[in-house]
Amino acid sequence: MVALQSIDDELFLSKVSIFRGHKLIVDEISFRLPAGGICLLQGPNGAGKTSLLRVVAGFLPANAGVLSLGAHLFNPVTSILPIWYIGAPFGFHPSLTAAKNLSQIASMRNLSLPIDDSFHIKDFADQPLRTLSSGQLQRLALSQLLLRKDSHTPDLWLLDEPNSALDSYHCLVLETMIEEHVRSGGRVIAATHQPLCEHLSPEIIQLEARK
Amino acid sequence: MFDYFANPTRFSKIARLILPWLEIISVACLGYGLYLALLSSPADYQQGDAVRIMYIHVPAAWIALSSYLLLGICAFFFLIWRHPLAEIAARSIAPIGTGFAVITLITGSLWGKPIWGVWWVWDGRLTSMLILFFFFVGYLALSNAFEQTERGARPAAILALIGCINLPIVKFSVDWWHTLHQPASIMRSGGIAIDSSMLWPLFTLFVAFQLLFIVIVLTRMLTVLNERKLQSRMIRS
Amino acid sequence: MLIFWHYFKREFEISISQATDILSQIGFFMLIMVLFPLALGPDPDQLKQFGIAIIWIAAFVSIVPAYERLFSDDYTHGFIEKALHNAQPLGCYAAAKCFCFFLVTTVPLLIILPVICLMIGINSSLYFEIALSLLLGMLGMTLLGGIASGLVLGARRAAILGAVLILPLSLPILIFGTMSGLALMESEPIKPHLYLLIALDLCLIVISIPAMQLGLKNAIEND
Repeated sequence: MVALQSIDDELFLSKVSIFRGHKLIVDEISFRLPAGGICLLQGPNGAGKTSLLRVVAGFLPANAGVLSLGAHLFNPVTSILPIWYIGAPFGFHPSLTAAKNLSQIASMRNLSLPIDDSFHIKDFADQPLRTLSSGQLQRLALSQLLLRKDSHTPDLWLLDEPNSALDSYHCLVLETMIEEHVRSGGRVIAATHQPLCEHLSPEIIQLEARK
Repeated sequence: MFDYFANPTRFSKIARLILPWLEIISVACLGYGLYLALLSSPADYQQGDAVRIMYIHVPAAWIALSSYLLLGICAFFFLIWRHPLAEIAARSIAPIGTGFAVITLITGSLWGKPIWGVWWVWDGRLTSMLILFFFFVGYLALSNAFEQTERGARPAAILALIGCINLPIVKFSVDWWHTLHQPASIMRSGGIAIDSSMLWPLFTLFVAFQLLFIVIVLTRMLTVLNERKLQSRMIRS
Repeated sequence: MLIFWHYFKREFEISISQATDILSQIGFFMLIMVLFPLALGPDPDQLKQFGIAIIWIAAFVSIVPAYERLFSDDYTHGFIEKALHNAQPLGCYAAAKCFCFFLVTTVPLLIILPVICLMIGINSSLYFEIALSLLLGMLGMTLLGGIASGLVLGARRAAILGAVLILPLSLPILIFGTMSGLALMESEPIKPHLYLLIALDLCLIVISIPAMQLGLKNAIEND
C-alpha cells in the first residue's frame, strides 16, 4: 500500500529553474524544508525571490525541477498542506474596510478571527482599505496568519518581504509569531532584504541576479 | 502521428522538402482552375458571366470556415496536449483565414450586385460569414493584445475553442433569424443547380485554394520557427 | 459548496460599496434608450415597432463595457491568487462572481423596465414576458462577459478588446431575445423562444466555467 502523503514530511525543492519569457531567472535551486524549518531567500532585486515563492505557492509552474513533499510530488494547489502566501499585492479589496476584508478571508478558509490583536488592527479596522499606509496594509496582511483553526495544522507560510514596511515593534511581533509557528511544526519560507529570526538559525538561500 | 511532427527541426526539414512541390502544384491548379472558371466554362443562362464569381466565392467561403475550425483544432492540441507546433500553426492560420473571409465577403458582394441589384443583402450565409469575420478579428486582436506575444497564445486558444463551439449556434440562430424575418424570401444566394460543366472548375479551384492555403501557412510557420531560432541564438550570445 | 456563498457575499458587499457604479450603469442604459427616438424620430408607432429591439440593444451596449471590470480588480489586487489556495477550484469563485454581477446589473434594469416600456409605448401587460426574456438573455451575456474578462486580463485596451470579443459571441442571444419580443408584439407564443434562451444559457454555463477557470489560471501564471 502506498504511504499517504503526510503533512509532516519534508518539503524538497530539487533543481528548480524558472524562466520569465526567455530570461532564466532562477537557476537550479535546491533546498529542503522539514516541518519546523525556516528558509530565507536573500538576494538583490530581480534575483528571483518572488518568482521562487510564487512557484512554491503554485501560482507559477516551475520550468524545470521537482517539488516534493516526502515521497510524493507536491502540488501546492491541491496539496493537503495549507499554504499562506503573504506578499504584495495582498489580495484585499480597496473599497471594503480592513475588518471586512479580514473576516471575509477568515470565512472563506473556515477559520475564526484571532483572539489577540498582535498587529493592532483595531486601530484602523473600520477605515476603507485605500486610506491605509503601506505599513498598516502589511500588518493587516500578516494578521491573516493569526487566524485560528479548531485543530492545529502546520501551515506553510510564504512571506515576501514581510518586514519591509514594519516598524521595529511590529517586526518583533512578526519574529515572535514565526518562532511560535515553527516550534509547533509549521514551515516558513521568507524572501527578505533585512535580517529575520537570526536566532533560529534559518537556512539561507542566496539568489543572484542574472543578466 | 502528431507526436512525430512535434519536433520543430524535423517539421522544418519535412516542410522544406515538400514546400516547392506544393507550390508548383498549387499554382498549376490555380492557373488551370482560373482558366476553366473564367474562360472555358459556360456562362449561366440566368446570370450570364456574373456566375463566374461563384468559382472564387464558394471555395473561399469553404477555406474561411474550415480554417476557423482548424484554428479550434490547433487550440485544442495546444491547450490539452501542449503540442509545441500547435500554437505556431494557429498563429499562422489566423490571418490567412481572415483574408479568405474578407475575399468571401467581397466576392459575395460583387456577385450580388448584378444578380440582386444591391451590393449587400442580409441573407443567412453572408451574415454568418460576416460574423465569422468578426470571430477572426477578435482572435487576432486577442493574440496580439499583450506586451509579450506568447502571453496571448493561451487566451487566444481558449477563445478559438469557445468560438468553434459557438459557431453552430450562431449559424442556427442566423438562419432562423433570416427565415423568420423574410418568410417570403425569393433570394437564394448560390442556390442554383450546379451543372456538371460547372462542377469541374469549382472542384479544381477548391483544390487550388486549399493547396495555396497550405503553402502559405507552412511558409509562415517556417518563418516563425526561424525567427524563434534567431531570437534564442541572440539571447544565448 | 459553502464557499460559493462566501464569494457571493463578498462580491455583493463590494458592489454595495460601489453602488454609484450601478447608478451610472442604469444612467447609461437610459441614455442609449433616449438616443433612438432622437435619431429615428418621435413617431410612436415606429417606436412601438422597434421598442423591444431597442431595449435589448441598449441593455447589451450599456453592459458590455462593464464586464471588463469583472475580474480585473481582483486580478490587480491579488485576490485570485488567494482564491487559488482555497479548497474549491477557481471555477467556483468565477461562477459566484458572475452570478452576483448578473443580479446586480439585471435587477435594476428590470426595476426600471416599466418606465422604459411607458416611454416607448409598449403595452404594460407584456412587462412580465419582456422581463423574463431579458433576464435569461442577461444571464447568458454575463457568462460570456466572464469568459471575455478572464481572457483579457493583463492585455492592452482590455475594455475595447473585451467588447470586440463578447459581441460576436452574443449575437445568438440578441437574435433569440428580440425574436421573443417580436413574437410578443404579434401575440404569438413566446415559449419556444424562451426555451431556446434557456438552452443557450445552460450551454453557456457548461462552457463558461471551465473557460473562466482556465483564463484566470493563465492570467496568474503570467503575472
